[in-house]
Amino acid sequence: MGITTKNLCFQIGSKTILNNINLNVPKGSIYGYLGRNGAGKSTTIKLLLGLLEDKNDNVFVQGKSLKQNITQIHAITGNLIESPCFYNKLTVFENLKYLDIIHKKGTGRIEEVLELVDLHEQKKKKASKLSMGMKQRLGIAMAIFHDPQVLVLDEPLNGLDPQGIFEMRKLFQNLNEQGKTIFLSSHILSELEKVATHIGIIEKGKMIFQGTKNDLLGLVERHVSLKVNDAETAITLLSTLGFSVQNNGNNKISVKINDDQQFNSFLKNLVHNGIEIYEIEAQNTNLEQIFINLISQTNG
Amino acid sequence: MANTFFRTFSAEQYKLSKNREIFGVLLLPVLLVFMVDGYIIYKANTEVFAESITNPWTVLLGRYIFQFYYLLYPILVAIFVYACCDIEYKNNNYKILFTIPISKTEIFFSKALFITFVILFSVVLSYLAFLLSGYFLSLMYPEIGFQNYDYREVIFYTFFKLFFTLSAISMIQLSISLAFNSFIYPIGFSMFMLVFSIVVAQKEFSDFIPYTGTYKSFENIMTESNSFARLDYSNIVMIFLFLLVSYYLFKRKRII
Repeated sequence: MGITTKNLCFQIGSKTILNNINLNVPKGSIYGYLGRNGAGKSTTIKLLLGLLEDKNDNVFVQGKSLKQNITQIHAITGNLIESPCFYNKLTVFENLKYLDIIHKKGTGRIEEVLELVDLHEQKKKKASKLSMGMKQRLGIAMAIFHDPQVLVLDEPLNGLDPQGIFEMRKLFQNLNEQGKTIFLSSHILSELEKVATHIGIIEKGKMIFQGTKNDLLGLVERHVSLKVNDAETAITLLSTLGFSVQNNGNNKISVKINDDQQFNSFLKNLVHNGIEIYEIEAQNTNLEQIFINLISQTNG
Repeated sequence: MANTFFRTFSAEQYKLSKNREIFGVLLLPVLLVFMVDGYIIYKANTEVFAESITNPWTVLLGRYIFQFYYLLYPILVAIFVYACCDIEYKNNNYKILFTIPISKTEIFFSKALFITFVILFSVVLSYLAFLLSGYFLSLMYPEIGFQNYDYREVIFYTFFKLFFTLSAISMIQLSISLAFNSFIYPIGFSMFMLVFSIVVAQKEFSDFIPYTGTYKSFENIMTESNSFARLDYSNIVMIFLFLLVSYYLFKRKRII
């Protein structure tokens, strides 16, 4: 496992922020961590990095207890939490040079990382003078500088333009292909859907889902939308056959299907019974809808 | 351990040396010595010095320079120490500091050592500027009489004690700067203590207030004292006491 927690709890005063969180982030996965504002995402991340103290020793990274091996774990972990951290009075290059003095990776690594995040042309610029997107890139550069095995990134795509988001997605995928475990929290669910292999959803300090992305997508119903010549006849026919059908007006219907065989079956029946089909559209339920549904279900 | 401490110290040095405030602490007191030299040269060219002038190291150089020092140095140290902490407050950079593979203990002591080194360099530079000023003035204006007095021991002790005073002040300022993420508290406290220490300088208990040390270094150079007093021992104790207080505050720092 890349990261695991066992009944991780955290309280501030009498307020419970996290309640028995059991994270299982497989090694080599891209784990998307979702939750609404205030759900406990950032607290979890700070606990995973040892920035908040877990008194009960319930956090494990690469199988090692964080509490007992914090320095070793920091050596193999990179992070970007909420907003990028860097020294304003230092240039882009100097910020990485500072890390190089600690990690002893060499000037070559500085150049390599600058290329990876496309900041090479800005390397002599004071960090405080960078645009928001560039600052985010610098934050990512600082997170990956020491070639960590585990990356914990909280909102790493904040402030990036579409090109930047695309490049970062590619970067995360490349790092993942190199065997790195990436724990990623983002509000841009469409992006998370593109890169994540595993998903965890937290609501009010509790995990309400954890599994692969396919597991999550399998939780929801599939619908197919059709435009036909006679909606009423089609609805009657499909209802008789046991399908759940909805009239969307304008000769459009929506049919709930459970699997590919059902899809095949209802199409054949429509055609055999003389219904003409002009349009077929799969109503894909995306991560955003699933997320909203799950949150709604949890909150009753 | 020694290797990681050296790395941490080098990293702190690299990062903090980009702060302009450091050069202020290092160079402003030296600049002040040269400004006083300029004034003495101006005076020597426009006035005739009385032949009976007593020790010029005291009545000319020492008096003017230390009058500035007792007001200036504690503020410079407060600004410098705050700058060393502020660099971590900006962008919440404690997140970098607490996630690098180095223990908080090594990070803290490398920071404290860097602060002490900068103060040491600043005092040594000021001491050398003071000595060289007297030497050059003795060559340029022998009529003033710098060459007639061997004042090296007093000057050495005055600057040596000033170093302990400033180190104690720096550790107190470090505690305050670690406790409060605001410029107002450390600088306000330093200003208040400066005024307070001048008001109570003649009281016996003032020996336990490090901020009186700069005022007393002025007295020291005027009275030609070359021995350690209770204030100096108290300052040495204060350095270690507030070093521990600062360490405690640094260790318990949490990222919320």
